[in-house]
Order: sequence, then structure tokens, then C-alpha cells
Amino acid sequence: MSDRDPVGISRRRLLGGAAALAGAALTPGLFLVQARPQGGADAGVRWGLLVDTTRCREECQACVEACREENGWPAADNGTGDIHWIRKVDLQDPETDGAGHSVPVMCQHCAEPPCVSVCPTRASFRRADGIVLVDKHRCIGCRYCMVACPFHARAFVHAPVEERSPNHPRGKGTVESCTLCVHRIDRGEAPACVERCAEAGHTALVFGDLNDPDSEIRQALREHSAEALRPDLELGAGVRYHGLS
Amino acid sequence: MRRRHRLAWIGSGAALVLAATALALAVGGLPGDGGEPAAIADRPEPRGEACVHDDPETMRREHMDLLRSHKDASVREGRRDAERSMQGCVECHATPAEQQAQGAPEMAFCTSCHEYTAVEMGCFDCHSSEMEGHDER
Repeated sequence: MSDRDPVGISRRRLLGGAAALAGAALTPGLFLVQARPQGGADAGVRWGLLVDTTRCREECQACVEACREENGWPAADNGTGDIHWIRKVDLQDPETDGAGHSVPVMCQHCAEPPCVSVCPTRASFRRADGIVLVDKHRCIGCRYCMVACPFHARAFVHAPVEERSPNHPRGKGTVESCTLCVHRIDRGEAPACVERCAEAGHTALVFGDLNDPDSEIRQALREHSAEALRPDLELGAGVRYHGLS
Repeated sequence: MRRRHRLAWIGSGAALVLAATALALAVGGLPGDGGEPAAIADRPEPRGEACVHDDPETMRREHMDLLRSHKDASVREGRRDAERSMQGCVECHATPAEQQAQGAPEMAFCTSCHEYTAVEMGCFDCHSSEMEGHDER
């Protein structure tokens, strides 16, 4: 295009004008993705759980019952399969033959979760604040994550769901596990198991932000030594156990 | 001669189609001029003044996309909005108890259209349609 262009507009100016117009047209659409006041999961937070095995009673099932009531999963039944978001496991070191421990085991909310690595549909994911979840609208029920999880923390819904909890939608053909009561955390409350354990008078569970040096869980971790289950796997679990060794 | 025969056949076929169309219009009326189909008109009235999402026409057309988008924001990013949640829908659109007592389904507002259009709706296979004790899902 020459300087003596009869129209009097250069290619560069034309493109510049078109870009400005396109920008103006798109601007209203930006409001569609504007962050809501709630802001969503905070990447600066790392939610964690400390289990004090010295305070956990072998016969007590309070945390399991609280989880079941909160999230609406059925008790173990031959007809419905074994759903276990949280379960009590008796641990004993076979070499020392010492006293055993009874501990609750649930999703360990790993920093590097194997279930997320193997998921072919990205249904398993890790939220910005470290909570590992299943997006059931994406889950195809392949159960790779159940095989990958070293803690046997996930379960598959085999049968149509009869009782639906408003706190957590559950559906046949999808995998589910402990959500760390994400709906309660987003409201500013502690998980149901932690609350019930305190009500039962054991306070064996401490919940909090592992990134906050002043949080209750960090203070407890300073006082007690605590380790992850299967520390050899180096998964960076968000759930730590005190008194195992 | 054969060409004239073929034209006659085509002509009579076209006339038959025209006659059938005229008859259908005479019986059923023009599409869109008779108001909404009975199944849709029967749906329960929602509570509140207006849908928190958008105007009813937009919601009718785009509710499935809006629901999916909100699911991604709340489940994957933790950006929750109680009014725009599935339970928020239930709050306004669940069938009132007195109509349920007369046999109307819990979520007749949804099912009236979905049955009419033969679009399967699986929302409440997993999500609770109860109005009490809900949180923000």
C-alpha cells in the first residue's frame, strides 16, 4: 500500500482499529469470568489433618459415623459394596509385636496424588488449597484411581443411590472419597470428623492450615513428632499421624 | 410422452404434499401461535420475583451451560455462590408441598419441560431435591 493510497488509510492503522474494536466488543464478556467475592480456594493455604493415635480409642467409631451422616454414604453392606470414605484400621508392627494402634484412615490429600496422575479424564484433581477431589461430572468410573491409591481410600458406587445428601451428591458409576468436608471448609468450619471427635472427648484430630505457622495444627506439629502413612512413597500427605512409631 | 407422464406424477405428488400441509395447519394451527404447550403451562410457579441467573428466556435456552459453568467454578475452584447452586434452583423451583400431596413430582418445574421435549434429566439422580438442610452445592 503506497503513501498515495486514495482511501487514505494504511494497513497498520486499519489493523490497529480493528483490534481496538474487537477489544471493546470483548470487554463486557470479561465480567463473565470476574472472580466472585468469595474468591474460591486459596492457593496460599494447605489444609491438613493431624491424627494423634495416642488419643484415638480402638472401640470408638465417632469419626466414621459423623462422616457417614454428613456426606450420606451407606454403612458396609454386602448388597451395596464397601463404601468407606473413612475407616478405622488397627495397625501393628509385626516385627516388634508391640501394642497396636487404632487409627482412622481416609484420603491423605497428597501433594502429589497418584489418583490424579492416573485419571484419564482429569476427574480426579487437586484443588488450589490442597484438597484432592473427584469431579463426578467427569468421572467415567474406570477406577484407575482406586488401584493407584496406596491407602485404599477411594470407593466405587455400584448401586443407584437411595438417600441423597444435600451436602454431597453421590451417583452410581462414579468413584468417591473423603473430601475433607470441602463444603464445610468453604463455609469456614472444620470437617465433621474433627468436630465429632472433639465432642466425643478424644480430640485426636486436629485440623488446620499447614502453611500458617500460628495455626493449631502447626503448633501441635511443633510439639509432637508426626509422620505420613507410607512416608517412603514421598507423596507429601496432608494427613499426618502422631505416635505411630 | 414418457417425459409428460413423469411431470404428471411429480405434479400430483406436490399437490398431495400441499394438501396434507394445509390440512395439518387447519387442524393444529401455525406453530407458535397457540401459546405454550399444555405440559409447559402446567409447571409450578417459581418462588421469588426473578431468576437470579438471568431472564427466563435465556435460562430456558442456556440453563444447562450455566449449570455446568457454575459446577466447574464451585467444585474445581471453590468459588461458591449459594443462590446459583443446584440447591438454589431447588429453593425456588421445587414443587410446593400442597401440589406434591396431589401427586405432582418434586421437581415438576423441570420435568414438565424435560418430558415434553424428551430430554433426559439426571440431575436429581445424584443431587438432592430436598429443600431443607442444604448447603451450597
